[in-house]
Amino acid sequence: MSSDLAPFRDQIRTWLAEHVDPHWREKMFNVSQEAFVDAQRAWFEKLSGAGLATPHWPADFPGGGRSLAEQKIIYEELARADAPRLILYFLSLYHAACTLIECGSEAQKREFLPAIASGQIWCQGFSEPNAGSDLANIKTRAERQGDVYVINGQKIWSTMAQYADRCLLLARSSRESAPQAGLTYLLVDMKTPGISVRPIHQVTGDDEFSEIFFDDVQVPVTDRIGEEGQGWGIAQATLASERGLTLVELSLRMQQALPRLKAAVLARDPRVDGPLMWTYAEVATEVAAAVATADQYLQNRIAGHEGLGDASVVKLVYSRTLRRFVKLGLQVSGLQGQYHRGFMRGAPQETGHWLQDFLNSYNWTIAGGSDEVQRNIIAERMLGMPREPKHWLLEKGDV
Amino acid sequence: MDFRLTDDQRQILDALDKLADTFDDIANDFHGFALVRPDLREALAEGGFFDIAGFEELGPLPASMAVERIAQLPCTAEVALSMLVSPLIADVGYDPIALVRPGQAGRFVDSAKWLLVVDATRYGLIEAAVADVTSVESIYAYPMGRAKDLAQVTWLEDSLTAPIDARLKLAIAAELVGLMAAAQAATIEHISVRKQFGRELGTFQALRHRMAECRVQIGGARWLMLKAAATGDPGDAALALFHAQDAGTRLCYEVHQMMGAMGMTLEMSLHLWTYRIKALLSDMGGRGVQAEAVLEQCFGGVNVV
Repeated sequence: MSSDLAPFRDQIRTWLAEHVDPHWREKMFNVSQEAFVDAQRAWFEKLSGAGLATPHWPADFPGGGRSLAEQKIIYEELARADAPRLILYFLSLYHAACTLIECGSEAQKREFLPAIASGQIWCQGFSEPNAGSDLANIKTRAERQGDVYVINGQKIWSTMAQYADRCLLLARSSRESAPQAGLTYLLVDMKTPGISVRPIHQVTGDDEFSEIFFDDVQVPVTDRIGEEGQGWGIAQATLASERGLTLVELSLRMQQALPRLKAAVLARDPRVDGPLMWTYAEVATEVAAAVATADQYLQNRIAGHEGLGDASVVKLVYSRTLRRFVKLGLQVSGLQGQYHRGFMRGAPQETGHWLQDFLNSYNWTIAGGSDEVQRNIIAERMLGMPREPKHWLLEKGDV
Repeated sequence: MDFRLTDDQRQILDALDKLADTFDDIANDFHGFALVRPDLREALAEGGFFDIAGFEELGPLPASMAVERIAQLPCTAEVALSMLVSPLIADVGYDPIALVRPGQAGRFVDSAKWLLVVDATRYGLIEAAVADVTSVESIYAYPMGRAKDLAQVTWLEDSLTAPIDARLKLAIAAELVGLMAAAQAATIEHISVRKQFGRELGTFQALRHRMAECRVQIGGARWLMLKAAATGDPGDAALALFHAQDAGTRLCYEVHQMMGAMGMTLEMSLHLWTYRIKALLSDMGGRGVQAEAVLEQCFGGVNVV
């Protein structure tokens, strides 16, 4: 693929060299969320103006119609340029837009896609206090009353919900069928009366997640995506929307951060044959394996084939490698590294502020399907191991 | 990096796969610590498979995949070095070749025609017939031997040292990846049918999660190995072997633990792969040397204060 896309890569690289603020990291250290949001908006507008925010959208949108191979190049170059991550808009541009493109009605596409392209912010209302890894256990109710659904319940771990204009909501419209079959997918205006948002203060010092409470919230039936009861299947499309691009980007960013880790190791133990340097070699090798694994996953997708469980391997190898990376950083930074000095917003996972990085790394072992869920998927779908017995069978002793 | 194969490469690997299938059986009677099949080499030579790396249209990438595939077989023969290293050395052709360190036992040394001798900084070649070769008793699942007299070794040009070194690392990494995949497959087969506490062992998360982790490590080792084959870069080869040796260390523990006491018997085939893995874990200096190579070649070494 490389030779014919080389001019495209050069073009992206040149643009990024001209537009990435080399001092963005310093500017995003210990800033308020409001300043962070302003910076994200400004970066979104720049990327959008250059056609780099929506490469995965259909060709009739500005910047759309790029192949997966071209999208991969954009993400590789964003990593290479150490550009800020577009965290505030990720759900809008991928989860919301891809769900609309794949499953939305024409009217919904006409209404929402141009708004997203203009900077509308979306959040996701899937997880609940008792429905995290076990997503099918959703309890938030969507009760049909004439032309509206009335929503009651609570969502949690909703990234940047405090800034969101709209929410992708998965709610239970029926208790009578199998858990997955009773879910309905709604596009909720966050300004609707009855919605309250409470940011959650995290151990990192940040508050990028929120709880959302729904108290008799009325959502027009026209804002339902797909049919009633089809929510589970549509949610799978939402979760599959970014297609491995993020992990290619993040793996490359981790590889680029190796000099930062090496400098930290050498500051602690300048011996070339010191035990910490050996650990560094192990981490660096694992990073190379993570990069190669993510890269091959996407190459296979570009070629049109993906094996069962491949996505779980990519996620697991990244989360595990990230943990080792930041753990070594924290280890070598000693007691000084344990002080909370603040945190950097909009940065990838390896900022060199090791305590924050270490705590932040749990994002990747828990979110988006925990490591334990990924291991189960790999064991069953990739390795063909027998399924776990269902708990109700165990209770009956019928195994 | 794109590892998709050309039609020619795919064809030859399909043919190799068919040939390998005919060797994929294990004698029921006691077969000793190693299950050596000299006829495997003959069949590979007859099929022209030792030419893969040398052909411009094919090259080291499919050759490393061929080594990986053959390593999955329960039987063994000297294949990896002939496929990947011999094409760099004039005169040796497809004859069996073994790596030997002065004074140390090595794999296939007692049955090779050529010995590739390594000292600290260079490689040399000597015919096994003049090196006073003897067999060595071993529990590794390879035939092992020792060369007593290396005085007549011919040292190769310095320019060959780095390429041979990289190909050796690639060959061992490719073999390790195949061995690990086979050992894991045998273990999964066992724990998927073996029942304890009324359930197949493989339904317990305590085991399945560890198998998933092993699969992730084998996958990473495979991609790094293929990358090393595609680039020919010494740093990539060091990375690939380091990661493969790391993965092999963990895998051997896990598969034997899960196979239980049966895995410790010669009646099961597991040892054929795991004891080969154990032999390869210390090859090329083992993890320590690979770690230094990784630091030096891939990351510019370190600036010692």
